[in-house]
Amino acid sequence: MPEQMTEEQRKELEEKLKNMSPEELAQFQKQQCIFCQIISGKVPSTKVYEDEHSITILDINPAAKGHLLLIPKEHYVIMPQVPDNIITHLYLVAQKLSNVLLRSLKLSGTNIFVANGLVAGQKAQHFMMHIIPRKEGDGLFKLEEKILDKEMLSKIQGALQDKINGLFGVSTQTKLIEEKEEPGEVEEKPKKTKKPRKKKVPVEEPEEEVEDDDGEEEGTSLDDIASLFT
Amino acid sequence: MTCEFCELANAVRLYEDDSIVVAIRDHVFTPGQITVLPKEHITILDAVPKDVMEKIALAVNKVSIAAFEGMGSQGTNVLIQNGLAGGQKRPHFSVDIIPRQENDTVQLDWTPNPLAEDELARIAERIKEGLNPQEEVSEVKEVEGKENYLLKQLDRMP
Repeated sequence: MPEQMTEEQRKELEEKLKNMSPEELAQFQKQQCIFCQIISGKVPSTKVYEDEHSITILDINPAAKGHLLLIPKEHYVIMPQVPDNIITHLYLVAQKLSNVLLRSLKLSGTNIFVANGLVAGQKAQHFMMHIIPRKEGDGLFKLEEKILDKEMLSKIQGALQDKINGLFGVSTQTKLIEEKEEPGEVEEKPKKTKKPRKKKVPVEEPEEEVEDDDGEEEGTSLDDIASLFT
Repeated sequence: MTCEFCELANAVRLYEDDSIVVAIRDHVFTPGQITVLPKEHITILDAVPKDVMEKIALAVNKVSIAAFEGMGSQGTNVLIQNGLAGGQKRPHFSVDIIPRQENDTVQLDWTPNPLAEDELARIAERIKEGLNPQEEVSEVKEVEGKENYLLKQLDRMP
């Protein structure tokens, strides 16, 4: 499609995209999406399963024979956009499909794999779950484990704990109690008495942040990831 | 026997409730990786009960959002390694959320092996057989069996 456009047509399209409302843009993305066309039957596929919310097809460029793509019928670009009732449904279907693959293709393992964003290897602008058949020694995914030291672990915790608390609806009061307990596990006894007082300071900030989280902050960064595809 | 994941001794727990734990483990593919796992010692994906699976799915989605925002990652991968051949290293089911950056060292891509159409169709048939008959057949049998059994019982009544 895009390659066949003349310079003039391309400019016209860019102008059109700029002036579109978010709803119109979403509609446009959907029209351009190959997986939406597969779902509507405009593009042929080898379907193995379908229900109210999803279809499952065989990947035509598979990592292994029997590689399945589980696709929500609604157009979502990345996983964080998928509503709770659909995401739970998809994981249950993925679990079932993995079990069927294991038995039907006599496998000794499977991977369930999701890529969110271009750098994660996402190739299509439609969220999907891969169910990948695995056999001993197939050489797929050469992953090596690294070991993180305690300092690194607490650094990462520092970057994530407030976000996690906000997203999981953990109240800051619970957090205060949890954090009081944690220093006890560390062997720095002299500091122990001071720590709870210190912790009170950061605890006040997240309270505001939690409210912010539902708003712009969350929207912008995730939209950026999603919009990389347009 | 002790299970590393049941104990999570060297991990930092970010969240937990009565059935799941969200943790930063000390063994990771890349820093910032977060693991969601059931509290109960469940070995493989097949054995995860529905309510626990639903909780895990919701937790994975939230963790993925946290990884985008808290870690400033440009992408995330969700990976379930199921069975030894699937790369599973511990006998306790878990889901990893792997934050990604441009030019990182995480190897999660593959070379596609395109299949001929007849082969696709053959595999699809095997998967469909695996998906459908057990359900339909067993359901039908059960109903018939029950009816027959009930009918026979009724017939025998004096």
